Formats: sequence, C-alpha cells, structure tokens
Amino acid sequence: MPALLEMKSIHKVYPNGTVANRGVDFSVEEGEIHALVGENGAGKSTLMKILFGLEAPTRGSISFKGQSVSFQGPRDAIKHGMGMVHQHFMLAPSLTVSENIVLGEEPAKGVLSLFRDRAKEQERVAGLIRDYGLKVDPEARADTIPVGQKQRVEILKVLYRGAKLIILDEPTAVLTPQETDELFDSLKSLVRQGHTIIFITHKLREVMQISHRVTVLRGGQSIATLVTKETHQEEISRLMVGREVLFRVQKTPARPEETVLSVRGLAALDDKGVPAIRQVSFRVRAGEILGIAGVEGNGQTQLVETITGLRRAVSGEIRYLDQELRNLSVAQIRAFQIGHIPEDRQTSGACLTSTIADNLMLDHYRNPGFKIGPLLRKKKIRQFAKSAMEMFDVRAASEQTMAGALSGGNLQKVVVARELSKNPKLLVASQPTRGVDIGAIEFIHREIIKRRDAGAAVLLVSAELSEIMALSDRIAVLYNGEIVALLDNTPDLTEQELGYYMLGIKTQEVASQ
Amino acid sequence: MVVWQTIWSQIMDLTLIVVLLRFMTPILLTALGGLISDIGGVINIGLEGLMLLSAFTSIAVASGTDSWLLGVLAGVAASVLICYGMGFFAIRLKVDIIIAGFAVNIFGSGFTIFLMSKIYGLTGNYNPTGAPKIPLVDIPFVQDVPVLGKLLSGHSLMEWIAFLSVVFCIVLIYRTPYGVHLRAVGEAPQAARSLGIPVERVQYSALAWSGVFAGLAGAFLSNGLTNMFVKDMTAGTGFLALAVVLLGNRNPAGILIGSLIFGLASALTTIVQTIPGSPVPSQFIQMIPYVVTIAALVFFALRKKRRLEIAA
Repeated sequence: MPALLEMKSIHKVYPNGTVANRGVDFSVEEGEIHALVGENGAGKSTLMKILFGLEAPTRGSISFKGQSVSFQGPRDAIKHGMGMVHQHFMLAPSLTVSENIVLGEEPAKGVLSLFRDRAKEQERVAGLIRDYGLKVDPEARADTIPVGQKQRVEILKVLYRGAKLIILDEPTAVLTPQETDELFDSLKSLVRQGHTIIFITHKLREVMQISHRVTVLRGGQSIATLVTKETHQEEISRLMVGREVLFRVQKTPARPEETVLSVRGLAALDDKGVPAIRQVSFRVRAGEILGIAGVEGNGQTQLVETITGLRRAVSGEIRYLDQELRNLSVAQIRAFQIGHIPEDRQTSGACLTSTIADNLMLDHYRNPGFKIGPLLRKKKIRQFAKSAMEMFDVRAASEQTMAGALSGGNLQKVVVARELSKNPKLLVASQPTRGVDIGAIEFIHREIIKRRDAGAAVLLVSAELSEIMALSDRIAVLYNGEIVALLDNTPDLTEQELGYYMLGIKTQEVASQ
Repeated sequence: MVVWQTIWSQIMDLTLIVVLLRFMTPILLTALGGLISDIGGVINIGLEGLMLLSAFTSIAVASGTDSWLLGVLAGVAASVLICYGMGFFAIRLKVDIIIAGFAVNIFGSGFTIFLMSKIYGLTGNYNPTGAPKIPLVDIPFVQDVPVLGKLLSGHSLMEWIAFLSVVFCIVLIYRTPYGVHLRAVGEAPQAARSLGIPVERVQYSALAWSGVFAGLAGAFLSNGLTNMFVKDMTAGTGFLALAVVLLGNRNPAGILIGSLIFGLASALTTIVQTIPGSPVPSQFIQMIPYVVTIAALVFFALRKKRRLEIAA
C-alpha cells in the first residue's frame, strides 16, 4: 500500500545560509499515529512548515494521497485535507467556541451569502462534537474554558475543515496527566474513524504510549524510522542526541539544614487586580529542592515574582535567613546571595539585543572587581564571560555574540550561568528547562543538583511534572493560588496522584509550618 | 435662576432634544467608525483630521457642483482615501497606528487651512453663499401632530443616517462572517491568519469603515449643522468620539449611549450660552463637554475597579 504522505529528500536552506533540513525522508501511512521527535533545531518545525506550505523546500518532493503536491500556503494544505494544531493555541478569546471552530468558513445565507447562518453553524458544530466525542460547550466564550478544552476546540477546528491528516505540535506541553490521557483517548478514536495523525513531541514516554511508528530527526536529517513496539526509550533518545543520555537524574538523598527561605501567609494580586496567590506558606531549607507543581496559571508566576521583588505582596511575610524580603526592591534582593532564573528567558531572562558577555554581567556590574571608579573593566568582563561560557557549555562564536542569535538551550545556559555564578544561597528557578533540548536539560538539571549538594536552597517551579518529580526532594502543589498539598518525593508518589491535586480534585490538609 | 428656567422650558418644548440629536450625530457617526477600527485592531485616532478634511471637501464640492449629495460623497471619498494612506503606512510599512493617526490629525488641520487659502484666498472661514445643505426630512402628517411632529419630523437626513448606522454596525459586527473575521483579526491576528483570513485586507477595510463614518460626520458639520467651513471647526469632536469609543464597551449600543451623554453636554452648552444676560461666565459653560469627559472616565474607571473587587 502506498503511503498517505511521502516527503522525499527534503532540503531547506534559508536565505541567511542556515541549513534546516538536509535530506529528510518522512513517510506516513494512512490510519497511523506517527511520532516525529528530535531536539530543538533538529528541523522538525521547518519540515512541518514545508509540509503546510508556509515555507518552500529548496529541494525535494512531497506526495500526498499518491499525488505530487506543493502547497502555496496553509489554505492550500487545508483544502487538501491537512490540519495543524499549533502548540500555542490560536483562538480569538472573545469569540465563542462555535465561532472559533467555523472561523473563516462560516455557513452563510441571504443575499450574496452576506449573513451568518447561525442555525446551520450550531447544527454542524454540535454534530462534530457528537461524532468525535470531544466534549466542549459551543456557546462558551473561548477565554473562559480550561486549557484541555481549548485544545479540543483546536482539534474540532481542523476536523470542521475536513482534515484527514492532523498534525499536533507538542500537544501535551500544557496539559495535566489526566488531560493528556483524555487527549490520547480522543486521538485513538480519531484514528479509528479513519484519520491519520502526526504527533510532534520530545516526550519519549508519550511516544511509547501513543504512537505506532516514530521518526527521529537530528541535525536536519532523518536518522531513523522505527516501529514503536520494537524499540525502547533509550534507543530513541540515543538516536535523537547522538549519544547515551542519563534518564534518571543521579541524585543522593537530601541532607537539609537550616531554613533559608520561609514564606508565611503570602498573598498577591495578578495584573488584573485579581488575587493570584492566597495564604501561601512554605519553607525551603539549605540543601534541599522544593518543587512547586501545578497547572500553569495557578499562581506560580506571581509567587515567584513576589518572592523576587518583581510584584508587591498584599500580605504575609517572606524571610530569607534573618532578613525580611517583602517590599524590598529587586536590586536590594539581588544584593543578597539570591539567584533567580525567570520563566521566560526571551522577555525577562536575557536582553536579546546585548552580547552574551553583557548578559552575563547584568547582575555583577556593581561588583567592584569589574570596575575602576565608575568605569567598567572590559577585559576583565570578557575573561569572566569566556570562563562562564566554558563552564556552562554555552556554544557560540564568541562572548561578543548577540544573545538573540542563540538557540533556546544556549540562551538558557547563559541565564543559568549568570544566576549560578553569584554562588546563590537561595536559587529560585522558574521553568528552568522550558523549550530546551534534552542535552541542555540534562546539563541544567545536573547544575541545579550540584548547587543543592553545595548547600543551596532551591525553589523549583515547573509546569513539567516529570522535571518536578526528577529533581525535587519535597513537592508543593499550587492550585488556584493555594498550596493544596505538600508531599515528600518518595518513589511511590505517582504522577496520577499529583495530577489529582493539580486539578483540585484532592486537597490535603496542609499543616502550617 | 434664569438659567434653570430656560433649560426647563427648552426641555418642555422639546428644543433640548432637537438640539441634542443635532449635536450627537457627528459624535455618534465618528465613534462608530472608531469602533470598527478598534475592533479590527487598528484603532484610528485620526478621526478629528478625517472629519476636517471631509468637512472642507464636502462644502467645497457642494458649492461648486450645486449638489449636497456630491458634496457628501466627495467628503467621504476624501476621508476614505486618507484612511487607505494610513493603512499603507500602518499595515504595510508597520508604522505605529497611533503615530499614523496623529499625523492624520495634524495633516487634516493644516491641509484644510492650506487649501482654503490656496483655492479661495481665505484664512479664517469659507462661507459660500447658496451652497446646498443636506436636506431636512419632513414627514407628512406626522409633522402636524403636536409632540410627535417636533420629535420625529424636520431632522436632517444625516441624523437619520446616524441612527440607522447603529443598526447597520450591529448587523455588520455580529451577524455577518465579515464581522466575525473583524473581531478575530483584532484579537488574535495569528489565529485568523492560520485559517486563511486575509488579515491585512480586513484591517484595511476596518480603517476604510472608520473613514466612511468620519467622512459622513465631517460632511454633516459643514453641510448640515452649519453651512460653511471654519478652520479647526471640529473643535475636538473627533476626540470626544474617541472617548466614546473607549467608554462604549466595544459595542454599538454602548457607543449610542456614550454619544447621547456627550451630545447632551454639548447641547446644554449651546443652550446656556445663548441665554441673554446669563450670570454664568461663558468659559465655564464651554467647559461642560470636557468636564463630562473626565467625569465619565472616572465613573467607568471606578466601575471597572469595583467589578474587579467583586470578582476578587
């Protein structure tokens, strides 16, 4: 049987000389779930952009349903029966679910089809929801429904347009374990109804769980296509990275000592003035990692901002050793041995239009060692930058390279290098490995544990449950701005268990410390 | 006391309402235009300049061709043309839409004065004799009914158009696919683009709509409300309309209510000003629309804050 989709020796060279794809072969059979894996920069997104008509390949051919095709744009691809569910949801917030689903192809009536046919719209959307079992309220405004349902709306959008081949770009990044399970059930049911799915991910566990076959990309080349049943995670990861990767982070039991950070009854508002965290209390001791788990948007961002002085607390106290931090300025807090890896390296972690050296210096320029009077000692700074880059394995042409030119993983290493080079007694790490590749994740995890073993207190906030479970000694779950559980990270603690707390289904009586 | 008596008597004999309708028309029309541009994510703050350009073009063409209709059409055309120019800079060349709007305001004021001086050799105002005005609509029979006659009959055609425009905008925004596209483009341009909606074209059209409505309002200023062009005759009407857009809660009905409030303030100003021997200094009276603007902004800010506190 010929494959449904066949991409042959795809090459893509961007005008600036970057080679994104160098001879990728990718073939998908009808009715399968095909996982596409690879590190950042391996060429996954370029390949999908080419498939979807957003980029033209430099060389190579695509055939779909046995016909040679070259799409001029998304609209063209959609017309041929392809659909893409983007990683970042593409919903208009004030429109209803139903309006979002039919957007761009509304049923119309009246003179010149000038008017919307609401009855037909309702009927067709209800029909889709029924046929595919993707439950969501069609009349709800898109900004009021939870993340899992937003994703269903995205899937309904492509189904409405008659997609047979559905591409999902890292669909589980924002989901809880329960929502992920529901998504997988939906995907299986889609396949049963004759759809084909391309599943882009870097979570190998999910590859094993859901896919029939898996194609691995590395350095712009397709390395292998494997039948999932006949392989295992270690093999896939070795193919992805090109070397053996340690899956379990090696770490010894924590030996916690004195309390470094103690937060009591902390409350803060979000940007709209709505309470984002309420009555949050916990402590972090020297030599331990406290992980904050939770579905994104449950107050993690505000908690970290309040502790690091970026947001005003409404009430409560934040103690660092014997020092009250609440309502001190960011500069005052930074003057202590407190490191902060912000959740978004693009906007708050680094200055993209400055050099790597300047970025590494951002927290040190007041340090007398780098100054003569009011002037900076450029040579000293360059030396410092060079050694930091070496220590933290930042791969760039030189320390004078613009930060904005770095890949996600390298830029994150710059941020980590800056925050760790001050030898923090307290490290607040927010999403420290978001969107970075496996190699860099492994490295950053090792560095964080190294700090813990050296006696630092670490507050780790992550939306990635596996990261929380791999690194933390204790885990606090934040739900709706409150800590609903505080657990020791023992081997018998499961993701399912945490998921119940994250969704607010279970609540533990948290003894105030 | 004279003041209150006069206002009361004007309320009783419905003059206040007639004046109110006249004054709210340019605000309402312009604000509807601003609304559409705002919904499309390209808020047009050049409304004031567009009104001036249309006002001048409209009376110049009307007196030249002896046709009010051609005058209005020319005014609207001039205004839409400038909007496409704005779109070229803001959408194509990615100039900040606010800056483009400012430019249009400055351009509108300066260019009309320039044209007046070049074409007619006048500096302050252009006051052609016998230029045809937008007609009044007298409704037969109804005009002879005591109260109803004054309420419904004898208004300028443009006042009717303004009210019909509210209905038109409601239908356009909520009942047509175009309206849904407009909202999607304003809120989530990436989403709209990914579904094949031509984002730029929709934004051009949103600006063009703001040009149409500001053009109608401008034509009404010079060809209906008065019968001349005075330099900077809009006197902030475009900015009042912009305030209405911001207060109007993003829907045409809200715009109508906002325009009513501002129209009322302007009407009161005029009535009090024309009272002979009024004890209130005229400067105070002229403050009314602006005081109302500030009061309305404060009111809405407080209401929003309270709503947030309730939510919390």
